[in-house]
Amino acid sequence: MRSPHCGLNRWSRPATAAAAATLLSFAPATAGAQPGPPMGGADGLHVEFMEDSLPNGLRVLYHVDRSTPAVAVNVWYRVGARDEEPGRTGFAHLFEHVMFKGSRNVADGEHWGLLERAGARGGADVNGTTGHERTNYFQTVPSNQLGLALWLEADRMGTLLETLTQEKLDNQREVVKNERRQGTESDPYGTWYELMLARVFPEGHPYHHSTIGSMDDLSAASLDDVRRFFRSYYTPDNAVLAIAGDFDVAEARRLVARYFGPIPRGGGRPALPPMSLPIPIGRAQRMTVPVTRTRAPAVFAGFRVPAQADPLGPAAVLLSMVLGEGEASPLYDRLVRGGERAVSASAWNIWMVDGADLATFSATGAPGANADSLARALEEVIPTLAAAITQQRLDAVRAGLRFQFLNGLQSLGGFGGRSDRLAEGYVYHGNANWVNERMRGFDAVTVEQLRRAAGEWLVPENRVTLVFDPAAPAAGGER
Amino acid sequence: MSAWSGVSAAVCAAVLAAVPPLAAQDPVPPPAGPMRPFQAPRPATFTLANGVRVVVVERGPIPIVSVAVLVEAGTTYEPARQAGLATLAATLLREGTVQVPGPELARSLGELGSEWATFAGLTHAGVTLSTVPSRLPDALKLVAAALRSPAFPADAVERRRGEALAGLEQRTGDARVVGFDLLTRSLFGAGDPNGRPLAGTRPGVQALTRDDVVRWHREHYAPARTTLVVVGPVAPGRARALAEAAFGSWRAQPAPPRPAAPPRAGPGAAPRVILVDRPGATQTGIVVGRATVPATDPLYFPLLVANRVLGVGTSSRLSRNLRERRGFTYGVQSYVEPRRGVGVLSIEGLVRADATDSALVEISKELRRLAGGDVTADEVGGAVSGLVGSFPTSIATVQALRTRVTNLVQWEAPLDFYAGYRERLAAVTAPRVNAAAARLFDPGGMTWVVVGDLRTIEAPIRALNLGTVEVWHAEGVPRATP
Repeated sequence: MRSPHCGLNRWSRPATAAAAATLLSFAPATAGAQPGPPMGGADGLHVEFMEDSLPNGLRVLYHVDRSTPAVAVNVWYRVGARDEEPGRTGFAHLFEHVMFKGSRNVADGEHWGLLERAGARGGADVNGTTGHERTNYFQTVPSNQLGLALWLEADRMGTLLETLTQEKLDNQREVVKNERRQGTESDPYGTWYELMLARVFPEGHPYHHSTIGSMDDLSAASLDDVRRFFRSYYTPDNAVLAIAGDFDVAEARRLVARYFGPIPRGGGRPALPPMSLPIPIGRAQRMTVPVTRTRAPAVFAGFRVPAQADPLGPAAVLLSMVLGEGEASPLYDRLVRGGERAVSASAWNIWMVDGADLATFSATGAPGANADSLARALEEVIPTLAAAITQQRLDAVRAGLRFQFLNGLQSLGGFGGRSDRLAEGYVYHGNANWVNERMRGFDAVTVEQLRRAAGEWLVPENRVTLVFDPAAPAAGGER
Repeated sequence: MSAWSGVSAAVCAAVLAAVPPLAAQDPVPPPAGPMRPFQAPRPATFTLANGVRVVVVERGPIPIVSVAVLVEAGTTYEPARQAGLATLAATLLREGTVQVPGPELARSLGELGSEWATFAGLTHAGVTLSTVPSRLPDALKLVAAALRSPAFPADAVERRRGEALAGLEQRTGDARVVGFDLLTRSLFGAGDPNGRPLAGTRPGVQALTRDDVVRWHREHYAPARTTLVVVGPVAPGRARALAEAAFGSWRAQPAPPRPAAPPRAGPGAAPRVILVDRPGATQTGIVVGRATVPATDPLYFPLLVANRVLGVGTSSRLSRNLRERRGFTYGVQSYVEPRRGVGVLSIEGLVRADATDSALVEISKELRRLAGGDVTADEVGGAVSGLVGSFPTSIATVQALRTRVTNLVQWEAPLDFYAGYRERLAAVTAPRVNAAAARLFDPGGMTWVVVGDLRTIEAPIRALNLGTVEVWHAEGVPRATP
């Protein structure tokens, strides 16, 4: 193995030579249609990268692609909604907002201003997102602005608390409450996710509550909570920094060492409570939810299934897709094209990492349709779908999944771009090269496995049904 | 973490220790170096013998190609009483041909690992498709057949019509969607296609039959009215071969004459306030806007810059005021939407219900300030550098670039529009921005649509005297005055 930089020697594949070469490679030329997997054995795209660590524990991933004069800087912290303390649901996300309110050298409001002026679109290229297991912060900037992006991330990682005020916290608390209202009010079924989590995952389980949290808990969050959270989780040894795009690795390493190097290591993050859960849940549950502002009912049937860290994780994802993704799915065929006359029907998983995941099957009825009939139809049709699991359908779904993944990798930044996938692999699987190995687990799944899985997981005693019924009497109160 | 990377980390730690860390974080950000060169994409274009125009943007290196087939069959051509016909016909392309019925079409495209969608806009309707280059020939043939010879099965027409009606009802669920629909309705009127939602109207869709759809397709879906846009690692020569294979045998049909472009935006109407009741809403949807210039107008680039200063991103004047300072909203943004011959300017946000009148006051103040000509050269510089700097990333995916190109087709703008885009932005000066702002951002020229719980917000809004107040139903009909 040849590498110009000592330490940067974990090339994602041994054959790769000089760092100056573009670190983006492709499967053999795609001209001319060939039978076989659409993107060849190597998924058509191999994301090459280098990886090293600072003495303070910050892991850094570098991926070079000089085809567009832009660079993405993406920081993932190992903290999410599952780390929240009792009575503080929504805190990880509220904290994420506070991270944009300035630090020692960045005035309130300046973080967005500097990046937007530099040529990063707020929302699309600059953002933060909070999940159950991680919080990430990313920006894609013109490549001549790499220093700015690194400086901004380091300033808040190192000095956020120095300029924190009650006013900043209160302001973002209001913004987040508006975000929550927007989610639950603009979508007549907007509460489905938190209602489902609360029933599929038991009280006290880290996945029991949603990332947006409750209004009461948001109101209760204090400055002390912010300080404790920052000291526990926002430390270099609990983070990974991924840099992707048009840059010189030696220069980037120099900047990373200069800005992130002085930040002290943390005291070790608190341990997680046990995540594992049995399947099935144990009993069938059903709940009716009143709906206003639409006459159309909707039904969500949730099941507890294996999570990504489980060997059966890929099978759980593919099972939902085979049965319920798109207009070629058996679920759509039965409920929309078939006699039920549902307006839409689909199934998907959340992709929870540890313990267990949530698989959701959903159908929406026409305005005025009967919610209970729709719920019965959905509940009855799910166990019968296993008969439609064929090799052809499984192959098609896998081809679609491979394409979705590749399609996302066009981007450098957040929301499934290359820096995002590198960081994700490192944080979730301890393996940044997961970006290049990800399809293997899916490719190994068989029709037999899926049929067996359907029989074990998609059973009434593992099901939570939420019936959004416009005909049910409404209850008051702000959700 | 694998043992291998653990070893690597230990090695690195020793090496990196040689770089002297600073005692404290640098107090100022590093200066930006020179921008790296960027070549804006230039589409190549040619026409097949039957009249199908092909626009190709060859671009690598990622092995994904994105295609759009645009037919001049948008809502502009549908009569107001059939509002929804163009969209329903486009959606029904998903139901396949006699040879390849809908379920099989969905299955086959799925097996090819391709994503596809149908769409209808104001001027054009058709299909978009994304796939890997090796699968493009097969996928494009399937999609072309669906577009050229749809079967329009009777049961599918009924099902999709039901879906369309359900969709229209769902639209009323989002206060911003309601607000925007009513804004365009009030700006252009129901008789102008610009004044109607692309999805149509409830009476329009209710009245549609299979015969209407079949006739619509026969009259509008013709090669001479079709443009194929191809973006990805596909050379023009190969694109020509693909286009010939998919569309070459399509025979020309006489195309009916095109209606004239919609009327240009006149001077701003007297300020008008339209209220829509949403009992119990904890947030109010605010949509403020007016008709504006198309992308081909000399005012367009100063308008983009003024709009950015006012309300694009999180460092804009509106965001800093309403979100970062006052916490009224999760987000308020200002949009410029060019169309063929005209444009729509709109400021949109959802605000906490009890802050509705305060938010309107702040928006009005910001508009008055902007129209008063207070944009500084520094602000213009920041907005321009932001727009110029983000352009390469904004077209980094083949789908994003394809959307830019199809927009040009729909706006009837020159296909080399983006070749000089960054240069034209860079030439915008503060006096030009202030002149555009004076003409287009005066609060007195705006229509203010407010969707919320009128029991609590109506009286405070009336007290603001923003303009003549009317109360409308969500579907665009003024409510009878009591």
